[in-house]
Amino acid sequence: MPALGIQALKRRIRSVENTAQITRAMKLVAGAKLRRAQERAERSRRYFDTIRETMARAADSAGSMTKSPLFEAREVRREGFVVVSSDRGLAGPFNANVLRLTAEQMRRSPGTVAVFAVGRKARDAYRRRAVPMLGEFIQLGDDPHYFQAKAIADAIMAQYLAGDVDRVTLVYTEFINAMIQRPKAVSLLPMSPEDLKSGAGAGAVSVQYVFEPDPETVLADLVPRYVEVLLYGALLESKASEHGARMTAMDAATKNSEELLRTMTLTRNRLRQAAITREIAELVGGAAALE
Amino acid sequence: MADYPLTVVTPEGVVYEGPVTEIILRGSEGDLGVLAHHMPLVTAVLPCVLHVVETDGTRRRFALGGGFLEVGREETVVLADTAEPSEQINRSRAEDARRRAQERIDRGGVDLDLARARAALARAEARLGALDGE
Repeated sequence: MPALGIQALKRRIRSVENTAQITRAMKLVAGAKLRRAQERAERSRRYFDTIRETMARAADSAGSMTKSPLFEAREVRREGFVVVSSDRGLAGPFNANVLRLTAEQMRRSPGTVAVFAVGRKARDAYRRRAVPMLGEFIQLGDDPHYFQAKAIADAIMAQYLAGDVDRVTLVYTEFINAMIQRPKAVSLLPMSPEDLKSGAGAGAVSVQYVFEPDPETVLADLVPRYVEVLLYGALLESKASEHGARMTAMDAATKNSEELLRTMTLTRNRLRQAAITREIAELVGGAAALE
Repeated sequence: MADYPLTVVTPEGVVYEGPVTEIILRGSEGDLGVLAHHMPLVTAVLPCVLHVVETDGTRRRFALGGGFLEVGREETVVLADTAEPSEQINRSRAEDARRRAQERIDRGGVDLDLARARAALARAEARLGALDGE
């Protein structure tokens, strides 16, 4: 820290105090929002698990016959990446981590790449890099709703079916706990029936279901919903992670401010004490000269 | 009458859970009712009114926004995009939604997403149906 005059130091202390107050408030807000996002993710789990089990059973009964083009693997000329970021910054390495993982995945892609940007940070980043953008979804708010996930999923599936992309990978941040969030890439499209079957639980084979009108049709109806709910889950996990990351970052910022305040207050007191001592010394010196 | 456990679940959470004696809803192949000991069945569900009869005879209605029905040996699950209990439905909003959807369909035009407009109409009608007990 540069040597400051006592006035400048006082001003700086006040400024750091204000910053600490803001970061402390942001930390508390992030904590409250984190709990909400976690609850919502918890509530969506039942739906997700049930739809996955039902799909596994339908895929089992349908055998290799599938009516949905979302199952067809094509030669990958262009790969789409759904990148889930946040609208706001000040969340530590949250956005940087997602973008880094996406960059790694892109390098491995056999064809050209394109992006579906979720959140302002991803949109801005890929706009700067001039990566072709197939869709941007910003300002989803702090509580992502299912219909928002559905709108994004619909756009992705439409582009996939139109042949704009031959494969779609989803990159989001997995929420492990308030301290740990991990960027994760999963394959979204095409779906593979084998993946679904491996997800079937132990009870999957014990009951023979009747599918109306037939397993292939039911499966074809289920697939878009599965993609939607996968995306919804990713939005919720990313949101929880964002708040977790912000909480951690703001906690660190608050601690740093406090440390800074401690040393600056110490310096200020020393300076003030030195000034007082000097004044006394001058007075004493002056008095001695008069005698 | 024999009962069986029913769960109505949406992406936003579990909407209903409890023992019931009968449910009626609209599957992709037509209206169907499910009593206890129904054979295991999976089918798509259209936007419709879900009628639920509880063990004490209480009838409840939900507006379903499309989804799936899975009748298992132990329990029956309705997976729906949305499921609104009739007590929570706002009549004037549902009527507005129905009118808007109908206008979109009537107006036609090249940019009309007919499937979407029809789905919106079906959802609005399901809501009104749930209110009126049809």
